[in-house]
Amino acid sequence: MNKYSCILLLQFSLFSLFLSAQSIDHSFALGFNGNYRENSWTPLIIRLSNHGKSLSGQLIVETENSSTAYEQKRQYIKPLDLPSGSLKEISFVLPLGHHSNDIRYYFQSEEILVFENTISLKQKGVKRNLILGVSPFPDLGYLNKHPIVDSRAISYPHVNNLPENSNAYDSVDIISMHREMMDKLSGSQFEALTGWVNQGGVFVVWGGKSPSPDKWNYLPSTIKGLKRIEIKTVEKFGEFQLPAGSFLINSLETENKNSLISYNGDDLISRRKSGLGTVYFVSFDYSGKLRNWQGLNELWNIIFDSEIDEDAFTEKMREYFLLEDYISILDHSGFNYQDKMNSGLILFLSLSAFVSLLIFIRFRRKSVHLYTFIACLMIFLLLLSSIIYISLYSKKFRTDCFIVSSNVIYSHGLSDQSHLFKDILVGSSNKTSSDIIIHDDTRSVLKQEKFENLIIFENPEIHINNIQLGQWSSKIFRLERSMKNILTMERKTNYPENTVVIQNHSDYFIHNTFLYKNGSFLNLRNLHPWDTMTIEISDFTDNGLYTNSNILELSTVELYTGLFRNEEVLVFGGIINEELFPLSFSQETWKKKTINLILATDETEGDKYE
Amino acid sequence: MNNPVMEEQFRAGFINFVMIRLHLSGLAIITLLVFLLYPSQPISYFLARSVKPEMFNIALYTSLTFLSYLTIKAAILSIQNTKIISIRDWFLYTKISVISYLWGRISYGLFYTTFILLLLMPVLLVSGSVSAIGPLNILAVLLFMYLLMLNIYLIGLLFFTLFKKQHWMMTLIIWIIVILLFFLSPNLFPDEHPALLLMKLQRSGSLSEDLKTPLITSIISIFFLLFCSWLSLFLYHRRVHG
Repeated sequence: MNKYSCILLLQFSLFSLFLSAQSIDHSFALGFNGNYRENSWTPLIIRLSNHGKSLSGQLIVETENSSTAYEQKRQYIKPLDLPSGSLKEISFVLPLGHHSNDIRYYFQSEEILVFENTISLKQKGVKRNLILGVSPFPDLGYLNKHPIVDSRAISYPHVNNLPENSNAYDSVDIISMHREMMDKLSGSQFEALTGWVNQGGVFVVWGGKSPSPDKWNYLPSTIKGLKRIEIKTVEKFGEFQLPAGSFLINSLETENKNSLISYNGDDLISRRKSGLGTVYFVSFDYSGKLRNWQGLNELWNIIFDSEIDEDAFTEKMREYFLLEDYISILDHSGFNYQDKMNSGLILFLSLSAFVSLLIFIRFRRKSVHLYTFIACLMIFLLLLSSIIYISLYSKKFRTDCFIVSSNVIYSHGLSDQSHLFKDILVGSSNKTSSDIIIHDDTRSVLKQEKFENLIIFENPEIHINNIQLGQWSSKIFRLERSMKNILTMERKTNYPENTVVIQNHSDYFIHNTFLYKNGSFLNLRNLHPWDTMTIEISDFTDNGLYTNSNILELSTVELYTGLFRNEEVLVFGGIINEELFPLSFSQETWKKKTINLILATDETEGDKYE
Repeated sequence: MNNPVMEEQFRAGFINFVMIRLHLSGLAIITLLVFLLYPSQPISYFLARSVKPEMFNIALYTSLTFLSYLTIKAAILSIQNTKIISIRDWFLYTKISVISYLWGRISYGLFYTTFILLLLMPVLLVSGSVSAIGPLNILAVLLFMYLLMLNIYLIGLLFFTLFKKQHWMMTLIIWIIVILLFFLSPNLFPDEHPALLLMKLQRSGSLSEDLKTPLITSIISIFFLLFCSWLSLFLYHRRVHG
């Protein structure tokens, strides 16, 4: 072997080594079968398989919005180890808006870009919520003709592409799934799905043959096995009509309260409430003859009926939040200019120094050093100006970076869960950059935002990194999470007509409590932890509320109760002193004010109290 | 101080008591204005409405008017209580060349513009800090303002070399040109209008980009005005010496 062939061989081996080092296959699944609802949290799964050498680095997903006013760029970072020959699946939950540009994801190892890819978002976003059909059976194509479905898109994601975080189901109303597919769900996928149902989702499970004991418990009926039933003629039962024929169904054992439709003692459809949502189990799947069965319309009517209507307050809170809404709070936040006198004093001193120097120069006009004096005066002016500016501009002299945060816990009637809406308003008159770290459980969700350069580390706490504030700008962060109900408000049947019972299920002391209806307040006493209050509702004429409250508390209460202005609902509210959602800022110079407000509405129609 | 024109200018215009009084009263008025207009609202008031206190703009435009007045005054040598040697006398009775005359006037112009800008700088910087304008932005604004003042001075100088002596018509023409160029409706110069540029520079994130065109334009106009003044003086010099 001569010298040249050795070199050639070496080059070839180096080249193949380079190729093997770069061999990472990647694929992605965005949304539900590529569909997502605009302005909602959307799942993204990225699958990586490493055929080359071991790598460790960061997988970064970048989204960018090109809205009219802001250029928003967000980064979602996950640290990742990719041993040789490994296959990994990484899931993200991203908010995608109607202005979103294409998504870019890349893997970076020791600051070297290993691969990158772009996900095109061309016309995949829909305006309304989705219905998911997670299996070929039952065929939901029939639903396209159903009057209630309207413009709701039906999507058919693969079961492997279902998210592992319940927040990713943000845009989904109903999930229809064959039981065989339900068995294929991984533990975390199943947990995410049940979490979504608890928050109000409707989950419909159809037929199935295989046994899977661990997930049966979740269904409204216990499955005993398979059974064939014969329906000879078209028969009517309730609103349903089953076609004639022989059908294989699951033999069920159902509690009476869960049974919805049964035929000759066999339960066909059962239903169970789970949290705020509903789980259905249909013992057959509508393939074959059942595909065009008229009774399906009725069945879907029942399923659609069980979707929870969000009450007006939660709905309003989910809308895009405007800074204008917060002006009253900001105006009363009490962060003032305090350096008027200081600036005036500096100006006065500089003026008098200048005058005396100028007069001095005038008297020395015959001197040969005249020009030196004038030059000195100019240097003095330059130095003076710079010192004034630097001292005024520095944060010690005038700290005008501030944060106002409001925590609103909202319970709707006797629901099992309350919502915590946390709005953080950060403002600064200088250019600043800072971090917000919120030490809380990982289910906290950053709901709406108006900012650029956001990096969210989801574990173990929410870490909103590098908040860039320009000159004279402010930003709002909205965080939302579900928590256990800490306050209930109900009307008991054994009490007189105009009586409501309010119970505090928490360790929080609620002061300055009030009842609110149609713009009028009724002042009440304080509510101690675990205390129950029974109120007979008299007239709502007393507006002299919050005698002990400050203006910031007042304007916060007014802002949130203002959302009920046109509704006949009875609202109970109060203020809590405790920090509900502890918040820390890396920059200590930021001034901070927090208001914790608690609100509860009654599920009963307001008219009944009249 | 080798240039006799500059020295004469210096003694006549700068150490003149009337001029000192003028400088001081202008400074006092702008200082008072800034103090009176100091924002009394909470900071959040401005933040919520995404507006900043307009103190800097008020101080800036008052200063611009005042500085324009002073530079034009200096350029056309309209100094009270002072006898100024005319261009004809300079050329006729001294052996001064056109270039040294022009150099004397320009070096005084440079010095005087710097001086009056520095005079108002404490007030401008205080208002700039209240309006939260960053250090680089404020430097860019001051640099652009300096070039503006220099341009105004050179416009005044050009007309002075054309008219050769003080005349109310000349003052009027200069003021009309300055108002047309710098203070009139931005519709005339939608992209390059100085007033808009001054506002843009206050909030600009990419100063090098935003400053590039105005800097080049002002430098070109400075050289153009200088050339015109030189040409006018050169022709006059030839006429005086037959």
